[in-house]
Amino acid sequence: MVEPPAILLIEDEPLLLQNLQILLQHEGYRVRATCDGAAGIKQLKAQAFDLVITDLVMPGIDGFRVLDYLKFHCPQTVVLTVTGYLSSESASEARRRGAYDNLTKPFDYHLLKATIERALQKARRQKSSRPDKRTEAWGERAEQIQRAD
Amino acid sequence: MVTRRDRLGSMFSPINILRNLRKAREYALASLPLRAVRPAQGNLRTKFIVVIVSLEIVLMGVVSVVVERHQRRAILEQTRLRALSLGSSLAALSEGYLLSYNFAKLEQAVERVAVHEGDIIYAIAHLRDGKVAAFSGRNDLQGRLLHDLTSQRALQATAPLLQDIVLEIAGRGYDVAIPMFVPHSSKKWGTMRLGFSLKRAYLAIHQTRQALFLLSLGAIICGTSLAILLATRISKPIGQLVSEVLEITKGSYDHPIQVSARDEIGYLGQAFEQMRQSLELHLNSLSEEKQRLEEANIRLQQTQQQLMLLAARVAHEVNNPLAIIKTTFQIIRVQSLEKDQLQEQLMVVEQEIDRIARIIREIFAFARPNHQDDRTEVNAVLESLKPLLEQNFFKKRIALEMILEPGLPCIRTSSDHLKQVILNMVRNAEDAMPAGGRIVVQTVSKAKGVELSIADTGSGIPEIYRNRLFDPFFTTKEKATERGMGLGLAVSYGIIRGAGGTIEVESEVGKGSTFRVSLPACEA
Repeated sequence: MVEPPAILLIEDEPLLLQNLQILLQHEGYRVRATCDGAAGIKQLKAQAFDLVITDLVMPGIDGFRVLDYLKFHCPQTVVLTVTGYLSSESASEARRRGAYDNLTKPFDYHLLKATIERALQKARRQKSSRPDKRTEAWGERAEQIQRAD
Repeated sequence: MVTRRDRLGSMFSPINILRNLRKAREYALASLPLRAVRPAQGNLRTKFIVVIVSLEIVLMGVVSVVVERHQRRAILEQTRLRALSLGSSLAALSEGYLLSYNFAKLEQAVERVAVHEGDIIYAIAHLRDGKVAAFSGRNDLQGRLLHDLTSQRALQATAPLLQDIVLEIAGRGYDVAIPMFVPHSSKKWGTMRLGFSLKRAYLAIHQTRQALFLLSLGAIICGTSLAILLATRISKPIGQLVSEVLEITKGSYDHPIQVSARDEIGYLGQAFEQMRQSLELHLNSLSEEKQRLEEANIRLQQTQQQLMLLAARVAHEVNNPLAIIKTTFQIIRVQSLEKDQLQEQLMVVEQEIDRIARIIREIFAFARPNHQDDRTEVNAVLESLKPLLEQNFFKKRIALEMILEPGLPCIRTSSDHLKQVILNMVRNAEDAMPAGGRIVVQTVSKAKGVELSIADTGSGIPEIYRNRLFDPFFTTKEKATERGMGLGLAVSYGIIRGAGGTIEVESEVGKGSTFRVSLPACEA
């Protein structure tokens, strides 16, 4: 029995977060919802996710820092970023830091679904390939540094 | 099929090429360095002096020669007259003695004359036969005949005769011979002779010459000095003026022009000074204007930046509520799948929300420039949009066909921007086919770039609209509900231009339209 994919949502607009969770759960995904970067990272430490959908502009720990965290600790996890306006700079920057794709609010639901499907396909492909020991070692070292912070 | 190039294409029309060439030439000429002003080389001065001095020399030369000649003649004439008159006096004095053969008295007379007048070299009394009756200072010659030519000629004279003689010691002189006649007859009784020295005369002539020479020299020197002075007086103020004007051309417009002259040159200087003052005024006002303009420009730029920031914030703030509303309605739709009528109404709401979102996007995107470092793969973007498009078209009975050439290079724009362009053109195609139709999306590689075409089988675009298609706020939609801001194509045009590309439209009313976007590949 294959488990449905695990998706983590990080979005500081609570109503939007709620709606997304409802919609995605309706599609059959396992959804965890957090309303800020810190809580999101906490969830990431607790369990592994197939996909993370995060807002970029948030107070406190913003989407970029989440991207950096994921790059070091969960390179297998695919990330989608969400922005409030069509800023090509943020989108390019996000992609440079590891995001798979970017969606602008208000996103078309079907586009969202299609993008999520593509991202999950990528995640499945990554899982089937052998895990990279070096990346894991890096992840550990980065964690050590972060703890020392 | 009728083709109409867009504004980019018109750059290559012959008129515009000529205009641009002319502008380029003007610009090149204007930017050549100013020909350096050569300093005054005093040619005028030298010329002036040379002319005056030459004139003077010639003048003085002529005058001197004329005067000298005149003087000489006068002196010699005077001397001659004097000599003759002295001879006559001696003759008159000695007349009686000669007639009476009073030799002693003749001797006396002759000696007295010779001694009394310094100019007289000798005085001789000749008898009828030519023998010497008396000779001043030469008593030994008494009774003798003189055989020299001068004496011969003198003795043959029948009227007073003047001869030029040259003596050993005395130099040049006159020999005056006065024939003596018996009173009231033409019988010659004897001759009285005088030797008159021209020493004094020639001395006087020499002195005259000297005086004239010195005078000429003095005059020439004076004249030359005067000429130099005059020339300097003219050229110095000119030189002053020139140097002052050069000062000004160097940039110091507040340096007043002063010329130390009160004549025409001074007047010229005054005129220049007036010009300088007016220049200074104009420059000052110009620089003030420039400053004002610069300040206004800075303010404008600041305003622009503020506007952009405002637009970004507004977009961000509005998009969040929109997203919430949209997803809420999505949830309602999902939860009430059975009730068709409700579904329809909910879809209307969703569409209206899309409309708002579109307007926000268009306003915001219109104010924003492109970013230089973006790269996108066209095919990838099209593939990612395919499911969305297909679903949309299915409802509207539009068939979608995608022909994508593999291996296309990437282009210089962000995927979000490209998505915007594609979605905009697709939406226009949809709007042109309210009763359904066919849309063909094609990508081909073309001359180091990508050509993306979106063709529809819709109503086509009338000729009159084709020039204005890409103008901001231009829309052909009549129904208010269908009208957006009219910014879609304007924004797309801006994005395409920013990526270095072009857009063309082919259209035939009743048959359909094709939009062709050519985008250059981004350099590796």
